[in-house]
Amino acid sequence: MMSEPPPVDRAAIAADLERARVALHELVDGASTEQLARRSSGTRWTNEQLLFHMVFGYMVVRRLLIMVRVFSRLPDPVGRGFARALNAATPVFHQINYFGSCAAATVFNQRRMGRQCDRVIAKLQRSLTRESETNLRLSMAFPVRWDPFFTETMTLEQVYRYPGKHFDFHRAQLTVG
Amino acid sequence: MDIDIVVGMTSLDMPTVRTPGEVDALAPEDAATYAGWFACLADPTRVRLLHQVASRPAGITVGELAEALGIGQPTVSHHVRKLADVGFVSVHKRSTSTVVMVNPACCTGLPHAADAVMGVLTPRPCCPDDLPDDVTVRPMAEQDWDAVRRIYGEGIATRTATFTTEVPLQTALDAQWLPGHRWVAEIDDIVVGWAALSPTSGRDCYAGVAENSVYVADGMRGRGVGKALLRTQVIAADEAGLWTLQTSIFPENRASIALHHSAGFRTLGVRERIAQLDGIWRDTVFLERRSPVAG
Repeated sequence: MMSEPPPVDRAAIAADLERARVALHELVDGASTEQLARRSSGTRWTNEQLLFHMVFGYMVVRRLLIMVRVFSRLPDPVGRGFARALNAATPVFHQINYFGSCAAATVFNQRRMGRQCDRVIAKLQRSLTRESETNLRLSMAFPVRWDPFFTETMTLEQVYRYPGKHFDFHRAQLTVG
Repeated sequence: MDIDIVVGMTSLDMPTVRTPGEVDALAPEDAATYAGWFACLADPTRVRLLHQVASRPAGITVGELAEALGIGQPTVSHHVRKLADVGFVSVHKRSTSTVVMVNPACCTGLPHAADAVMGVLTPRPCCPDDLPDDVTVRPMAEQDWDAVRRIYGEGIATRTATFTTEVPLQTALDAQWLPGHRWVAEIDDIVVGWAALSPTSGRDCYAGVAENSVYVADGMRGRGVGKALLRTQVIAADEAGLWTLQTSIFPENRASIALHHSAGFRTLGVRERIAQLDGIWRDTVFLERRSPVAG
């Protein structure tokens, strides 16, 4: 008889979401205008643009969750074909990724960025609470060329965990200290 | 007898350079152009003559060419005319002499033709795909420094990886390597390799240009560790908007050169006797990878 897999540690995921939210506020609130305008280290963005990009990681996840829910119910070849198509569109994704954060940083000032972060993480917390155990184990093929933290196949649980890694990865590149 | 012609600067224009994404085969018209250039050079005397002219940017007279090559002036004049027809050289009257000068466009057009024919300009891959199942790559953490420096030392000991002869201090590496671009590879939870990026310049305009390093532990080479590391490294660099990665590799390290080619790097050239290792001047192959997304 196959044993049931252990339940997903939702509390850990929820705590990680909250940790990032608090950290984002500390970073944004503690940065001066000069620091926000300063170039980051190891990216093409300024600190302000990079901070928005870190929030953007959580915004992207909401879309990814929908995709996993949809594609996990379709035949495997469909999902793999979709991932291949997305991989092929990597240059377009990165263009949007780069210029999106540049443009958004002109719209979202420090206060708005903090509020946006609160909103998107609150939505993720709510959807995480509602997610069934079965749903959290749904998976789909991912476009691995989009991000170093994407893997060939990701479950819904892994997608919830992804933005924290993305956040920490880019946090190290901020030069606001 | 000097030839008595004055040929204007004939263009040796390069066919339009296509962006990598658009090139999938050499166009027939480009092939015809290149064939014309190569056909003109299908003669040893003409190659020697062009070499003499190209070695004298200020120009060389037909008489000097005849003397340098040990052939008669009529023969020189014949070959100069052929080279001028295609556009490799231009010919000008100066007082009573005929001066032959290389067409500067030739210096870029001809190498470009060779690159196009040899596939150097064809689309380059983003990154290697056939990764080993047993290798995982993750961001480097504080506790990895010992393993990273040990593996660095093993790379130094090969004498085919770096000019560095002593493992730098942790503080020096920490200051040198870009944050967020430090990766380690693990097999069975043991660190077996690392990859890092270093800035190439402190100037803002070069902020998106970085030099990469990839090191694999002794006994772990050939298992795809470098491939997995390099793949993560270039994907992260693309995601962060870095536009050019560069690296220098000893020519003997063919595995590393091939690995970098599989990740979209192209060979720019050989830097001759660029530095000494153990008292011996060594060449390096200089490679770069242009991000498919930035700029």
